[in-house]
Amino acid sequence: MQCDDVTWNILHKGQCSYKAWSKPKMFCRNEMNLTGLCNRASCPLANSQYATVREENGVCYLYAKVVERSHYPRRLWEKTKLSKDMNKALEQISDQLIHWSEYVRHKCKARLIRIHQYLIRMRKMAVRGNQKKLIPIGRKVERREKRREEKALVAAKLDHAIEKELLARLKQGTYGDVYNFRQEAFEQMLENTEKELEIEQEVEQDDPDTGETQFVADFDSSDDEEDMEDGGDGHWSPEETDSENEETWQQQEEESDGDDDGEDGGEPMEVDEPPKKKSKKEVKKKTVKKAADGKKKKLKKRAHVEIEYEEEVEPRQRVKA
Amino acid sequence: MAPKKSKKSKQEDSMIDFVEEEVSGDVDEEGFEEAEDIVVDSEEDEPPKKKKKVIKKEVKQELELTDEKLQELLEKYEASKSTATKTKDDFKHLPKSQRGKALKRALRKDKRARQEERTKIRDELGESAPQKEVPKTIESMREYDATMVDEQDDEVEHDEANDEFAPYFNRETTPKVMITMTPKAKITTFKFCFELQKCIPNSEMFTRKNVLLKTIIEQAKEREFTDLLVVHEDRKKPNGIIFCHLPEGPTAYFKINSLTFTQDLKKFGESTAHFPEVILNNFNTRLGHNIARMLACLFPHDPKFTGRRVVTFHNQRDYIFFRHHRYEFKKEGTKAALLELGPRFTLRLKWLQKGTFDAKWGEFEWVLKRHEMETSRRRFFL
Repeated sequence: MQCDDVTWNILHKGQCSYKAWSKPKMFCRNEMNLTGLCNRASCPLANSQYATVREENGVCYLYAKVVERSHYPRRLWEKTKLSKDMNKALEQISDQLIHWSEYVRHKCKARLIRIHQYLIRMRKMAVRGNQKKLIPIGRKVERREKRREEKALVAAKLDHAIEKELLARLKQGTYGDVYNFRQEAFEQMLENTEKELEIEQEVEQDDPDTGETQFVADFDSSDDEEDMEDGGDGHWSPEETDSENEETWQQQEEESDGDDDGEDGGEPMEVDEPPKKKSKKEVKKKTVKKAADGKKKKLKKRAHVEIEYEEEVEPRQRVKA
Repeated sequence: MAPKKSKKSKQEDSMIDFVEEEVSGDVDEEGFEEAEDIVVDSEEDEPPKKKKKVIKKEVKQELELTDEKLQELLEKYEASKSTATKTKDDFKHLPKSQRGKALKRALRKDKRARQEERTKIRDELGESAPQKEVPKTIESMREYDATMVDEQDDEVEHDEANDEFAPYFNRETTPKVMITMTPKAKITTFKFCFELQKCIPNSEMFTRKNVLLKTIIEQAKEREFTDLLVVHEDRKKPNGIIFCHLPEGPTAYFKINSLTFTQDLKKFGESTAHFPEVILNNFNTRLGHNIARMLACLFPHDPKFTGRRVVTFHNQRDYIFFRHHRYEFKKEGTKAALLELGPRFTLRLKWLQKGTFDAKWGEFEWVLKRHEMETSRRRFFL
């Protein structure tokens, strides 16, 4: 015998495995529950005449049970497939549950609508394609990776490695002129300065001689100066060799003749040139200035004339062409 | 010969005079020593041949000694290397709870003692000392990987000249980076993106706004971005980066570990806008080379050395450590001082995909599979 009130009293006040306790209302975990709430009207166990709507793989079914089949658990639920069209499905439900309680009929329709809504949303999301796939993270794997990372960090000696790499780059010269303390560059600089120093010393030795020539230069052109310089070279070459050994002196003198020739062509000439040029320039400038004073006035007058000539010449050429 | 002798005698005379002067000065001992030296010199001058013979004999004796000693020392050396002198039987007089500790302590002491002994033997042996053993680390014991890249490999060079990053290395493109995050990203993720933006010059940040990644990629291509970074988050913290090289380059997914923001560092400096240098350490295999080239593509070509900024990707045991420093050369270029600027985090490669991002149909070049690939602790892929 079915006695719904007795079952409900037992389930409600006693033990029910489908009860889900939560703060505002009690819920039911039974799959066949119509509303999901735990109350007398929507309890699938305590109602012998009961109906619900379920979705299986995107297809909705109406499940209905009646008292007459209550003693056949295998054939308890009457399952009817509902149409994909929601309006037709609603009609189906109202046809099937025509004499049933208003509560069940209404809730079934509401449930169907709800199911259709979520199916539509699911399809939309699937079409849009921004679904996320959640992948579980192994807790132990995570822990192991973290530990290995710590060890790798220690083994890496990061600061040391970075410093080493930077210094290697510095040695390689990737930084170019940004830094001055590159050793090779530093040595090169030293060598250059030494050369310059030598040259300067030579210049200093030359200077008194050239100073003498400068007096002469005022009178005439530079031929005399060069003669005097040659004589000057002869003067200072033994002075330098005095500090060296006597045996090598003669050889050096011979070499020094050759060297002097070379030097005349090379370094000392370059150094000597500026005073000569100055002297020449001074002479020239004075003459030029004197001439220029006269010329400038003439040039200014001539310029006007020349332009006029050009204008006259060009049209003739065009005519010829 | 006669004039030479006279010269020497003259020198000696002069030296002696010099010595006398010194003695007459203040320092007594030095003077005496020099006097002795002079005496020795004179002896050498008189019988030079005899002295040499004596010296040779001494050398021969030494050689013989070493021949005999050598093996003894070597045996000693090996012995000191191999065995520990203490065992657990030595501590039976102690209560059980203390034996273990005592044994450990004793063994440590013993180890040190043996080390010192070995160094002593090594000093005695001099050149003939046996070679020091290289410490066995995980790196030095690394399992052989067939794709290790040699410096001179024509095939690799050819491949790298024709891969997706070639236009960058041929200076045909200038990097321009887009940084986005997951839709509805939380504040830490934004913060991380800002920090990334600071590190990578010529990068722009966009909020995702629930746009699909593929459409983002298309838009980025239209605007001529060369790289796309998408920061993923989990529990409000960034946990991964999708790094996509555009227009057709590979896509890589990195997991972010142990992220520390600039503010949380103990000591940090303010970053500047200069183009940074990039250091890529320890990328040895083909895969590693690819990843390194990919990472290099994020940064502009000509770093400004006056800015002294350096960004480091250091690979150690497949963990890629990211650091961002300002350096300064000190002590005439023998040392480099580092000041940390940016965030620090660790990347771990999870997969690499050919072409732009396509989770379902994309062709995966490489995927980290734990059970198949993590067969040994000494097997690394980068």
